[in-house]
Amino acid sequence: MDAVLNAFALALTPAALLATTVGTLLGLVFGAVPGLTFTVALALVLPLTFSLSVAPAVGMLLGTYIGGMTGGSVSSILVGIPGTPSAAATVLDGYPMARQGKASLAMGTAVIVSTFGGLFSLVIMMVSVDAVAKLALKFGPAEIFALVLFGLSTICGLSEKSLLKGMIAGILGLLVMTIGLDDIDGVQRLTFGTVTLQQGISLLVAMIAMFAVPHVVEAFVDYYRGQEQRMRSADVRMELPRLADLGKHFWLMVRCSILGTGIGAIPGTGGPIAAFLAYSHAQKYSNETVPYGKGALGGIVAPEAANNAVTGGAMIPMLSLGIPGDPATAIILSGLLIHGLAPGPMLFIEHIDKVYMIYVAVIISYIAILFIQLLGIRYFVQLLRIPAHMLAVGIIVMCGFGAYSVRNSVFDVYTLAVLGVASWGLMRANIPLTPIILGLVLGPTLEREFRTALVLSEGSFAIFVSSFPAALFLALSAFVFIMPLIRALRGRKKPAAGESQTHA
Amino acid sequence: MSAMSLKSILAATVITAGAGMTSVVAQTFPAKPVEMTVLFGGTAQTIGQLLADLMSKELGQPLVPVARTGGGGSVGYQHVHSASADGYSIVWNSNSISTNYHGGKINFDYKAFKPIAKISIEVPALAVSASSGWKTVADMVKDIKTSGKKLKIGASGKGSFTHLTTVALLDSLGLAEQTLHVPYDQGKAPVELLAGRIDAALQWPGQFLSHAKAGTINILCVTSNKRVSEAPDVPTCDEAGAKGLNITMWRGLAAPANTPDDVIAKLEAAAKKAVASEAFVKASKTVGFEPAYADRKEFGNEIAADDKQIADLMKKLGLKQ
Amino acid sequence: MRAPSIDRITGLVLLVLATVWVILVWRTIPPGAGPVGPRTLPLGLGVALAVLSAWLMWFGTGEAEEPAPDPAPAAGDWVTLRMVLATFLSIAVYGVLMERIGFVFATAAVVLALLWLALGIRDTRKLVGMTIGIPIGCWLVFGKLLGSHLPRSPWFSLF
Repeated sequence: MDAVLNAFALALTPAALLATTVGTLLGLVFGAVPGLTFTVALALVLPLTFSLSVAPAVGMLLGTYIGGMTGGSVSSILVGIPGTPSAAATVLDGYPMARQGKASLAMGTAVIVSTFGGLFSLVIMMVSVDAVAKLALKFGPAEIFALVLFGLSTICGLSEKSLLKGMIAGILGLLVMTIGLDDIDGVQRLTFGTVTLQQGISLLVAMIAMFAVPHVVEAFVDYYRGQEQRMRSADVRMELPRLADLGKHFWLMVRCSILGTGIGAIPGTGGPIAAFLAYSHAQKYSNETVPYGKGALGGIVAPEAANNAVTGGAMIPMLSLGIPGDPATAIILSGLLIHGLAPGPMLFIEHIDKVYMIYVAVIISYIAILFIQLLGIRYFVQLLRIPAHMLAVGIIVMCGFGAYSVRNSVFDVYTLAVLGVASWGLMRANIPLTPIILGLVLGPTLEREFRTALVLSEGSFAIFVSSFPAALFLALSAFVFIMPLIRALRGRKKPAAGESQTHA
Repeated sequence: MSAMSLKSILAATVITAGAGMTSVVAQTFPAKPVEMTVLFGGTAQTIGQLLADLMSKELGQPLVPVARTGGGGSVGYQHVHSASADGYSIVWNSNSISTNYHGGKINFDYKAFKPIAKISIEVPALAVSASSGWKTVADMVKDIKTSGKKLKIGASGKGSFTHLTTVALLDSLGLAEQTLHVPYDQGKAPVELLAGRIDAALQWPGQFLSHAKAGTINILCVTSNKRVSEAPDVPTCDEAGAKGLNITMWRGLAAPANTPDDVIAKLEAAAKKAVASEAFVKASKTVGFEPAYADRKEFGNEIAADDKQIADLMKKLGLKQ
Repeated sequence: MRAPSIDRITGLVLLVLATVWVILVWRTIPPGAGPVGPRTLPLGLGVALAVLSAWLMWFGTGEAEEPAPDPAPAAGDWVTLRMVLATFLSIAVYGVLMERIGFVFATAAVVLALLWLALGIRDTRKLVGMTIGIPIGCWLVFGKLLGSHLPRSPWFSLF
């Protein structure tokens, strides 16, 4: 009990509160701007924490991480460009809602659901850190490969009209990510002997290119033709979600939070997979009147609950095993180390009060997020009043700068230009873009884990079916891939009435 | 003509003129922020940021750490290599200059840079799961040799520094034929050990310490010829049977080869003070590295010697290009 | 035979792309040791893409032909092509300028070029306001307030 009181005393000092809030705000801004992510924000914040004492330092880092994870939804909803890869799934229904004039409703839902997901994962972390950490240990390369493959299988649900085109899109995404240095064998792939191409295509840059450039082109064309549509002020009204709306999605929220926590706890997976799996889960069991992809509220609830639950999940292996799940948690880990808190089993024995302090800091961050975002929504939506062509010019600058700042490399700006035009072309050819994103996000993990698993098994493919989790997820993915094929073949023989009507 | 006049206008309005006039530059150096290219995330980034913070105070101008992390460091080296040699663009470098050059990723080697100062070293450690029952290197070697099984050992990918160290270590233990190298992401080695998917791992000791204290992982040896301060009870691999083994990962600062010496001297002096500062020493204990200042001359010699060692190792492995 | 649909053209373009990709992969990436090496995935994906795009070219999507969802088809739509080109060039030029004349000037140049050349805006107030406002605003917020690293010019340290 002393430790708990001590933790509260540490985390609730004015300095700690202020640092946590500042971190949260910073994270929000970086999360909300496409191209700038919380990983960049954390790298900037880290030196600031050197001179702070433990509680404010930890609060600031965690605030930035959590704020960034939530902030990604703001630009996903408002301009249809995800602020972070984890928020890519939020675009699918968030952006259509904003176009229908329900931006504030979407953003309000996102914030509340994010907070729920985050706090839910925190509670799981508090009560079962050891059990979850043990479970996470079971996920080796073969198991992670199977899980990621299952994540990839959601392509089938996200292919819109044609499975064939969805699969082409997914392959294009996977293909692009193989360019650059292959870490496992230290071999260069398709670099044409240049140093520049060794850095490969940045996931973030590819993602901005795909979401932003087609939008920008469209806005320019509309303006040039004099067809630009002004948002009427009535469309920018404030409307927060009612409890009844959220209540309808309560169980979805819970399920997706569990999913997010679980995936977050497995090192090397993370936010995007959780968000897409949650989305496809929601889509499958939807009983909503609004179809998914056209502005369904569940399409925001699911990914946002899941990606924020990842934060708590990711902290389980980080704190209990000392293993960072992604670059962002790696920076938090350094921050903890600098202040003498070495994560690992001993942290819970020697510094249990500091562990509680971390929990309290997470709670404070979420409270800060709830306040800042709910108050901020009325200002965020004003963005929609800016004429579309002017906003588009701003987006080009933002994305150009954002692409540069990912790795401080001009190459990424050129990549943005090339991939942007390519994705405009693909959109014109009715190739769906979401499966490409999935390919981009999951490709590197998929390949690395696959090859590592085969090294471990000395080339035997039996490793993929010899453990329960691996076999389970492989079977599930096979099921998801094969079902639509069977359906398509049957449909070919006798065209179903329902199918031909979808195009009417 | 117009380009010329544009340039002269710029020169007149700006705070510093370009490089070229050595003495003038050195007197006023640094007149604007100095950019320090950071090649990696993780520990490299943390130490780099701390060092930059401390050196900024000495220099009177900010030393800005800029992360250019693509291609295992190649992109960052290329950037600084092609930057103007005026001291305003320096690199936070490491042995990766040699592994990248000999691995055929860049077409210039350490001679393309002028050393400023060596800052720190990190020493890899060999660790095994406690459930293996191996308490010493000899236990491990004996077990593997008698069982005839392969030792599954985790390190980073082929041609990386930890991979090369692993090879050198197992070679001198006589286990070279009986190993299976498993490539892992830096941070994941402890999980794989605890889960029993690999038998041993070679990574930075900081990752293992907490587990070692908790009794789930045994750290068998460190690859330097001196014990490390964060784990004083752990023997060196040399003591434990790998005779003559001494491999450490150094980090330091370097600038493009034509940078004027007096500018280098100013940076060297700032680095010396930063490394000696209390904040740096304190951080070294918690982050897991050893402050190891060496002046530019000594540093230069060390880099050259190290480059030879790495070249030989990679040649033997058929990784040299 | 009817005119080639957009699906057929897409299939053809992707098939060519996939073929080039497979040839490049085969010739430049070593196979590595063991059954699965650095070449396996790029090669497999390239082949899969070739097969699927050939299928798309031959059979279409297997569903009802797309009833041209966009009102204006790409060919002959000069306004759209012009805007695609403008977007591409503005980002590419932005990249070229960033580390040469620094963030603020590069941004100003790109904003002005987009407004003036691509969109044909001649309203002085808007031109001046955005050309100065966007770069200075970003510089203040990202460079000064958030302390993010902005690209600088090697020649002068203004901004």
